[in-house]
Amino acid sequence: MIRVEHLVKTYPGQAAEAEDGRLPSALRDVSLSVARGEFLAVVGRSGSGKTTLLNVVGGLDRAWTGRVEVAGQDLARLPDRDLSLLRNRTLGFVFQAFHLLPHLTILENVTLPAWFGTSDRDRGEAEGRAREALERVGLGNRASDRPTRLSAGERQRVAVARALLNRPAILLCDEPTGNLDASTGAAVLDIFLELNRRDGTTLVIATHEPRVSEAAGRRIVLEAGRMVEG
Amino acid sequence: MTPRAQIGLIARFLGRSRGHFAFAGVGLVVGSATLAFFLALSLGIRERVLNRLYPVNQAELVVETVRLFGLGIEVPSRLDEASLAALRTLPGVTGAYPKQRSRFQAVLWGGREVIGRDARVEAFFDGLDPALIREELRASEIEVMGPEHPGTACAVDGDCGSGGRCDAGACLRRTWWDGFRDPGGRLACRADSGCPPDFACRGGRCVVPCGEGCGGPSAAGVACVQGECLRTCATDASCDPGEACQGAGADRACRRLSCRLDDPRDAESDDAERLRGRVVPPPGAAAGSLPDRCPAGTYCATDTVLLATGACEAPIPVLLSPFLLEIYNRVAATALDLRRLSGLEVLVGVPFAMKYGESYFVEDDSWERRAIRRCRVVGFSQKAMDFGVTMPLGAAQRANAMLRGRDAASEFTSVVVTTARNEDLPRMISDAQVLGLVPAPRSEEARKAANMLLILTLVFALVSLVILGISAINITHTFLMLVTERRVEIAVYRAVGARLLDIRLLVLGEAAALGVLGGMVGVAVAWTLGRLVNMVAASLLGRVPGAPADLFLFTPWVVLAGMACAVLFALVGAWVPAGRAARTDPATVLSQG
Repeated sequence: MIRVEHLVKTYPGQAAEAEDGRLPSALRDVSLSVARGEFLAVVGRSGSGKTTLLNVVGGLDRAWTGRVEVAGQDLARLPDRDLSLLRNRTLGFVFQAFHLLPHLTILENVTLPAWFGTSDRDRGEAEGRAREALERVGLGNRASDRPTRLSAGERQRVAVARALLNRPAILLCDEPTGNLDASTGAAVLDIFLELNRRDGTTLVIATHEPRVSEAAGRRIVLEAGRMVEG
Repeated sequence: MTPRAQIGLIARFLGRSRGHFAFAGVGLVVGSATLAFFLALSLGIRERVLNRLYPVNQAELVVETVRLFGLGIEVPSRLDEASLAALRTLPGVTGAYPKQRSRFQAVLWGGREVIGRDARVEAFFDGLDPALIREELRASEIEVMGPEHPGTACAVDGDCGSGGRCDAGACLRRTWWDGFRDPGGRLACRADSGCPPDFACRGGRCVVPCGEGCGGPSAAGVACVQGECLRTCATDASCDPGEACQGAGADRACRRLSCRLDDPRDAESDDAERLRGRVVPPPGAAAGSLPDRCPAGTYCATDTVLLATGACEAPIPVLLSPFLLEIYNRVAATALDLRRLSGLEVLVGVPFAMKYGESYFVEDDSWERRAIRRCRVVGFSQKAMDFGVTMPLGAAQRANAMLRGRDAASEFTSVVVTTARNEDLPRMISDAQVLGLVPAPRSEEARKAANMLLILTLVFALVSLVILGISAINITHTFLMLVTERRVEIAVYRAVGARLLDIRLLVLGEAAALGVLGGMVGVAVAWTLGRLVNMVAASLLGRVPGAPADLFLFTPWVVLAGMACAVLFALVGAWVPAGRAARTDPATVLSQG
C-alpha cells in the first residue's frame, strides 16, 4: 500500500550529510513498506522526523528525493491535480492539533473534504456520510455545535470523522493522542483499532506514546531522521 | 472543486470577514461610483444636450463668411444642388440634406384650440429634407405619444378622425413621419424664374417639364403627360390630397384640382367649409367626375390674397421645436396671460394659417404676391427651428419661389451632412472647405463643447481609475493579511484535497465577489448622487428653456463599466495574495500545531 525507498528530506539551509547527524525533522535514506490493512506505528523522539515522514507519504511535502509510492502511485510523478485527488479520496489525515475550522459547525468540518471533490452530487451525499462518521466516533448529537464548544478529545474525534468522510484506504495520524489525557487518548485509539480491524483501513500513526505503539501491528523507530529499527 | 462548491465557500468567507471586506471595498465603491457618475453625466449631457444640437455623425455646414472690418461677408459661393452633389461624393459621406429658410416676411395666426384664443405672431420658417429626420421623428413620437396600439375598426382614414389613419381595418395613429412630407401644391407664375428649381412655367402655373423624360430614382409611377411629368393613376386613391385622377387612356394622371372661393377674403376665414371653396372643372371634364368642393382635409389655396382662384391643397405639415414649447410656457404664457400647455402632445394636429409677404415689423411685398397657406402641426423635432416652424423642403422652396423667385428657391441656407462614422466628420469638414462650406456656428460651438466634454470625461475617468488603483493596493494589503490569518484554513483545505488552482481561485473569487458588491454599491451611490444633482439642477436651472430634466444617462453599459472596473481592480489587487495563498506549505503550517 505504501512503499518508501531511500527517502531523503532536507530542509532549506540544512546539509543532507550534516556532521553532527542530529538535524531535526530531516529524513535520511529511509526505506519502508506498509501492506494493505497494516497498522504501523512510527515512533521516535520529538524532531526525529516522524511528522516529516507522514507529510511526505501524505503528499503534503513534495521537496524530497528517493521514491515514494502510495496506493500504487509514484508521488514524485503525480501532478498537483492527481496528488490532490489522492489526498481527497485515498488518504485521511489526523493531526495532533486537530486543525478544525472554528467558523464551521462540526458537521461542516466533517464534510469539508467533499467540498473539494469532483462533483456536486458527491457533496450532496456527503452530509449523510458525515453524520454516519460522527455516529461512529460517538458525536452524532453534536453535529450543529462549533468546535470551540468541544473538549480536546471530542475535537480529535471530529478530526477522525473528517478523515473518514471519503472512506480512505490509508489513515495518516500525527500524534493523534498527543494532546489528550490518558482515558480520552485510549478512546481515540480504540476508534483507530476498530477502523483497522473492522474496515481494514491501513493505519500509519506517528507517536511517542508506548501504548499506541504497543497496539500497532508493527513499529519503526526513527532517530535523527534515520530509521534505526523496523 | 466544482464552481458551485467554490461559490459556497466564497459566500461563507465573505460573511465571516465582513469587516475586512467592508474596509477593502470602500475604495472600490468610491472608484466605481466616481466612474459611473461621470460616465453617466457625460453620456447624459452628450445625449440630452449636445446631440440635440449636434448629433453624432452629422455636421451642419453653411457658406463660409469672411469677416472684414467686423462685418460678415459671404465669399462668392452658393450652396445649391451642385454643391450638394459635390458633397455627396466626399469620402465617408452617407447623405447631404439641405435646409432652406424663408426669404420673406410672414405672419401666422392660430392656436385657439389649445391656448384659448388665436395667437398672431411674426412667422419664421424653414424647410428641410424629411429623410433627414425620419428616425428622429419615430423615436421622439414614441417618447411623446407612447407606443402605437391598433384602435377601433375602420374602413377609410376618415373613420379614424383627424389624427388617425386606417390600416388593415384598424385605426392607427397618423405617425409624425407619415404626416411630415410635402403635400404638394400649385404655384401660379408668369415666367420660369417664378418657379422652383426643376420646374417651368407653363400656362400660368409651375409644372415639371418632361425634358429628357421623367426618369430618376424617385420617379416610379411618373409619366410624361402632355409635356408635364405627372403621377399615373387608376383612381383618386393614388393621388396626393387635393389631386384627382383625371383624363383618359394614356393621359390619365393625378392633376391638382382647381378651385375658387366665393370671395378672396374667405382665405382668412376659419370656417373649414368656406375654405374648401368650389372645384373648377377643367375644360372638357365630364360632369360629375370631379367633386364639387375641395376634398375633405384640403382647402382652396388661392394664388394670392387678391384672387379667389387657386388649387386644392392639404395643409402644410410643420414640426415645432420642443424648445419653443418651453419658451412659450415659461415666458410667453406668463407675459401674455395665455393658457399654459401641458405637453408637446396637445399641439399635435393644431391648425394655423400663415400669410406670406406680410409683417408686423416691416413694409415689404406688394399685395399681389401675398398668399395665405394653411398649416398643421404634425410633430416635434430637435432639428426644427427654435423660433419658428419647420416644413418639408419642397413646401419651403415653393413659398420662396412664390415670393422671391427661382434664385431664392434654389439656394440653400445650410446642409446637414451625415457620415458613416463619427471619425469621418473632421475629414469631411476639411474637404467641404474646398467647396466654400464651413460648420455652422451652432455646430462648431457644439463640437467644441463635445471636445471639452470628452476631455473632462477622460480626466474624471482617469481620476476614477486612480481611485480604483489605490483601492487595489488596499485590497492587496487586506488580502495579504487575510491570507496570513487563514494559513491553517488553507493548509487544511490542501490536506483534504484542494488543488493549488482551487486555492488561487478561492481568493480571486472572493476578490471578484467583493468587486461585484463594491461595483453594485458604487453604481447605486452614483445613481443616488445623480438624482440629488438633478434635484439641485432643477431648482437652479428650472427656468432655463431646454434644460434637460435628467442630466444623467445610466445605460446598461455605464452600469457594466462601473462594475467591471471594480471587479477588474479587485482581481488585480488580489492577484499577489492569491499566489501567496496557493504557495502556503501545508506540511509546515499543519506541523506547527
